[in-house]
Amino acid sequence: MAKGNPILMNGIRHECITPVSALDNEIGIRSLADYESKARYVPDGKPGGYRAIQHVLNNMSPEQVIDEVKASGLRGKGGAGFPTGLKWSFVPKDHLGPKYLAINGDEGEPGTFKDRYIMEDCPHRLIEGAMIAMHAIGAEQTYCYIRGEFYDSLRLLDEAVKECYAKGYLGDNVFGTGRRMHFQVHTGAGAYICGEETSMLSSIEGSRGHPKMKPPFPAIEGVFRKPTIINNVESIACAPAIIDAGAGWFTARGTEKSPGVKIVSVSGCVRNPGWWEIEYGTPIGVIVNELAGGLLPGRKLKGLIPGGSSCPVIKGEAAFDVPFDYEGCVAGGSMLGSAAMIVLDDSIDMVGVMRNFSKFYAHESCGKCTPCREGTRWMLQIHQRILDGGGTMEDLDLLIDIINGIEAKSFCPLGDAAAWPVRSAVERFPEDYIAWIEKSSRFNALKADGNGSASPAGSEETAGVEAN
Amino acid sequence: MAIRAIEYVTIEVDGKPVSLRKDKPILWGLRDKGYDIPYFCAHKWLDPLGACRMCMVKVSWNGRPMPKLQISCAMLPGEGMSVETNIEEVLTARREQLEFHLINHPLECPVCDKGGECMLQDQTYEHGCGEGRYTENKKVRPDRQMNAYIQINYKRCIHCKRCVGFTDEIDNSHLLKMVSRGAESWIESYPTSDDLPYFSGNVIDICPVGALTASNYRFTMGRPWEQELTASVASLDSTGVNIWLNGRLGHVARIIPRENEGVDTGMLDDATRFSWEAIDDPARLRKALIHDEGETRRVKLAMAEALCAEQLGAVLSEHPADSVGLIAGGNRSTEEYMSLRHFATRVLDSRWYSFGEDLAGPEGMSDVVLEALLAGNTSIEHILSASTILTIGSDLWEEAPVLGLRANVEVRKRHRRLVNLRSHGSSADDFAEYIDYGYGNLLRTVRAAVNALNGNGETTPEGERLAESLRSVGDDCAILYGSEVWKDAAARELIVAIQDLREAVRRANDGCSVYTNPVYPAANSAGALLANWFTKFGRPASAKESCGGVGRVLQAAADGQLQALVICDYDLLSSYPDRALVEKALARVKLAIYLGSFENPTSQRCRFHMPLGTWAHIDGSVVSLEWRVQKRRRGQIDSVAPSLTELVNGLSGELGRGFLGTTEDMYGQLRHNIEFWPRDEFTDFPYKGVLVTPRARLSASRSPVKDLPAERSAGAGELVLIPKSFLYNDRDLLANSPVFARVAMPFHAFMNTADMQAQGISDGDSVALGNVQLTARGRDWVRSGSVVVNDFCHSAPANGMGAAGFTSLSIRKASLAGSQS
Repeated sequence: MAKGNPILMNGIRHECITPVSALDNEIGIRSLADYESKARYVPDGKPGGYRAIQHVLNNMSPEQVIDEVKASGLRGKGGAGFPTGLKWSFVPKDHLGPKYLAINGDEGEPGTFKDRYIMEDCPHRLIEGAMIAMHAIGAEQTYCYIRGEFYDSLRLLDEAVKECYAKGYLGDNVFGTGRRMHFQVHTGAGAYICGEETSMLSSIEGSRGHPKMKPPFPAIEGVFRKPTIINNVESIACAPAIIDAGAGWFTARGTEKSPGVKIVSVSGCVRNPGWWEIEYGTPIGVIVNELAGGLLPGRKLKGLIPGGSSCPVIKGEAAFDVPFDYEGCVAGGSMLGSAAMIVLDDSIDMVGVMRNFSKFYAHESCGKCTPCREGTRWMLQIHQRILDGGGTMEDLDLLIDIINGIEAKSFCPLGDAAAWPVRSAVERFPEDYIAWIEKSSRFNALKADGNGSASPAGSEETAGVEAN
Repeated sequence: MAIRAIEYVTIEVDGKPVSLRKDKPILWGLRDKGYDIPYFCAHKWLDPLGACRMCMVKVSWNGRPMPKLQISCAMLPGEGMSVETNIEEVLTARREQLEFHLINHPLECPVCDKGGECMLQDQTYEHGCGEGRYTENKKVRPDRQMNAYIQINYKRCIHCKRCVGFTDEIDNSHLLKMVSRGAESWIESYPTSDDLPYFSGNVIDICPVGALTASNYRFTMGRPWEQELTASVASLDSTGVNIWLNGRLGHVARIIPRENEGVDTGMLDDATRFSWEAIDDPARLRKALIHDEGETRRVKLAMAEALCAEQLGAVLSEHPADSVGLIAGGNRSTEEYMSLRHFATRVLDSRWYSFGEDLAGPEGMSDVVLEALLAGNTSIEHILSASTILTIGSDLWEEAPVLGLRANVEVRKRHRRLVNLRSHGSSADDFAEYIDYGYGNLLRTVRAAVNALNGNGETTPEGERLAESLRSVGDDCAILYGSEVWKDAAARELIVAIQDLREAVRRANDGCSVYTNPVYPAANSAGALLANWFTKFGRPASAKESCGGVGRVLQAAADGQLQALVICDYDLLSSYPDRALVEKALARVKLAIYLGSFENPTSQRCRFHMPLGTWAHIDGSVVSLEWRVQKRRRGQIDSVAPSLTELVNGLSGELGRGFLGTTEDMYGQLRHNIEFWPRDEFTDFPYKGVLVTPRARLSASRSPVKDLPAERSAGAGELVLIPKSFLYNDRDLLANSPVFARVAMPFHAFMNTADMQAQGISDGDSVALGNVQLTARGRDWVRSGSVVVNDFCHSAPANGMGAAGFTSLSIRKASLAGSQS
């Protein structure tokens, strides 16, 4: 496949463009009745909805399904990019008692808006994918955890699930095969942390959404202490297409290490923000300039975050050349994450952006581990102080020290998520910070005393701040 | 599950090989070996949480380092592991995390009660960076009372969540929870009036900072380093929980747990922990009281001793032998019992003595029963590692709280079985299987279970159920039996029947180990047994045998055989099951002498009330339910009042019968005469006690009884009265500790809500049980057809509600105006 040529599903924004549309080029449909009226998603139609799962139930063993998904090279779409087929194979085969599939639809990362459209526009694709995954891992129950704020997703997915139960696609006798498959939609209560897989399990169990200790990994001991496979909505929604069209169809797209397609959501300073399904490896410049309509007139690219607010910022126009896949983004100094591209042009002040990010992470830190709980708050306080005109040059070193204390030392990846963008901002855009600090009265007062670089903590005039 | 051998594995730590336990995270192993790895959130009782991030170390497997630092509290050792605890990367991480911990912590160590024993203080000193860079505003939240005992200081909290873990994982009270999110989160508690704190005090110990402190200790009892610690043993139950008794300037400062991994692993119940206030309470008697014809005189001890001896001498000169009864409660030391025994046999020349609460009912002890009590006893460690734990008529949370708590933890964390045979529900039923029996039918149920297990003889549905749950007990089974056995009118048969049950369970499970342990009604009931039956336990002697029980002494007094009665530290009127008998005995004897630390209904009926030091004021040994002999050491506190040994020596001297011996002499006699007694000297007795196996010369022969006694049930429109032994009751130490006034003590008539509706009683109504008035409380844990009352209450004595033994009574709404509460 030629790189740089996006698969532009329908060219229409806000329409379903899951992988299946690559096959039949039909727009997403919300209810089974619609599917049927369009000869789609009926068991014998072609191309048909729920055809893949019937094929799987009748002709494929769980091992074959896992091998097919492994062969497709499908990587988790939630952020870490772990191979999905490999993950499915981790479930202990000889486990007695229930196993679970948990689908992560807690799309909380600022900048990300991809899963909600799958749940709203083609929920059946998700349900079918869940059924294939349940067959592969031997589970009888799926929990689909949806972010509390996504009211429409909840309503539409719930409707679709009800339809499936009414038709006998879900229930105690799926398609007359005697298999039990249940699908439970579970809403969160608006906590970012519950998008972290073990926190999501805690939340499903009814506990406070705190991450759990790993090991034991969820595949061994997950929700209700039973083996649980956790996948992102988008990963699960890819499964029907892979079964339907074969692993070869999937590997023919994308790069060697990141095969297939990916939904990218673009926001920020572009003319035409939205989301598109692209092949992995498409250069970021193509996405921004051709799909999102480019920057506003007269603006230049200052920085770009390829994977949502938790990823480092790539500086300058160089970002346009970065290929949009896992390896390319890492080489470009950032991460693919959840493929939520945030475009920042030269009118943006990086300190303000980081204040917002820090505020988000300080608010959303679950409070379990010390570095994230205290560090995010401290970072927010420093940013706020700089913006309020109280910054000093030492704050830059202090921020890096705080980030060193959080990064790779927090309990769950949320700490890293809070630390990486700030580190990239401080290291790659120090001029924005320095501009604020040079205007600060505190800095100028210290400078007038000939003390411009002294540590403020040791100085007399700030000693009173510590009173409480 | 029997106790397993410990496996070790050798790993490399800082370049040196170190052998560590395989089943414990490396943090504990390394700390035991002297590696100073700081930590806050980890605790050996709790599952690793990984919140504080202080214990991070660099781990490599077969030479390949793991990319991130690893928390050692959650890392099990394994082959090929090497750990670096002292490299720059680790030290930097510690400094960073400590800085995060300190940014919101107030720098008020000089006025904080935890100062001197604070983990944060110690670790900042060892690992901190010495200066703070945090110039922003700190978080502030006003203090809050967590429950009746504990105050939360939010500013000091470092969010380690140990306390939350304790209430979730250990005592299951779920009293504490994290509220809100991130740096704004805090620990919230939701005590309700119905929640009696049983183990909440433990969160004070496990709090690594001064965020949780005891309300009655903070700011008043001095700093930790000013206190003098004495290794002692708790006095409220027979578990033998180890404590530190802290004294300061001659007063008790507090009681804190002393870890004994065989007994308590450092846990302590709230009643013991906070009962220290009573020890120095002004209500404790310092002088003697003489109640004479409605008048009370307060006199000096020496004068009271002389007067008392004069009157006792008059009795003895008239009736030289077997004319004076001697009764003692179950909480004195074994040495005191020995001196009382000498006083009874040598000075009073009386066989009418009995120490400790009655175990075998009013008929008294016999060789058969004593043998059954001693058979199959094992250690707490073995009880808790048994695959199945069966309790018979015993609510462990009330009668042996720490043992009950530990059993509960074993059931939840290590998947053991707990089966409760009980007459009403309780907290001990959480995570347990339970079998209901109608109160009063315990013997019937146990015998029926024995018949069912043996496959011959009559049985009952409850017996069948019990037998069913005991058909596959696993590797071993521990049977604990308690208060409802001692209170049963057929206690003698019951104790023997439990041995039959033990035999039947063993046979039904291919000869697996089955243990039986009594949960004694008082801290030193086992020691009292030793003194009562000294001639059977020790070398043969010619001294007079005990008459066999408190009931026998009281009966003799009521029959007019006794002229005088000496009662030591035993509130008979409030707690002896047969109140009428006590009344009769006290009315019949010419002279009644009470020896005790506090005034109570019984002491007020005696002419003389001599002051006595409490358990904290005297040295002596106590024997716990697992037959662990431990030494209660006298705290660094002023007493003013004598020990029982000193008191009877004084009386003996006044009577002209000479000196009976010091406490050390008594200990020497125990050690010399009882073969299984520890060989250690009294002065350097081991701090963790010595487990012994009791042996006695008994002529016991019995044959199994298969007949079931008739079923007993309440009469028409009546309820069965269940006097329950609660942890919180009117025992002297609890009744006189001001802190317990804040706790809702369970002095109510607990009824099933269905019964209340049928009788037209609503929650909070005043009801009359016999001649006693109580407040009715509707509780679902009470079985329909019964009413549960506290068996030890001064103002509403359960023994005054009906006849002794099995009582069924009609309950009526009291017609007093304003009785609604």
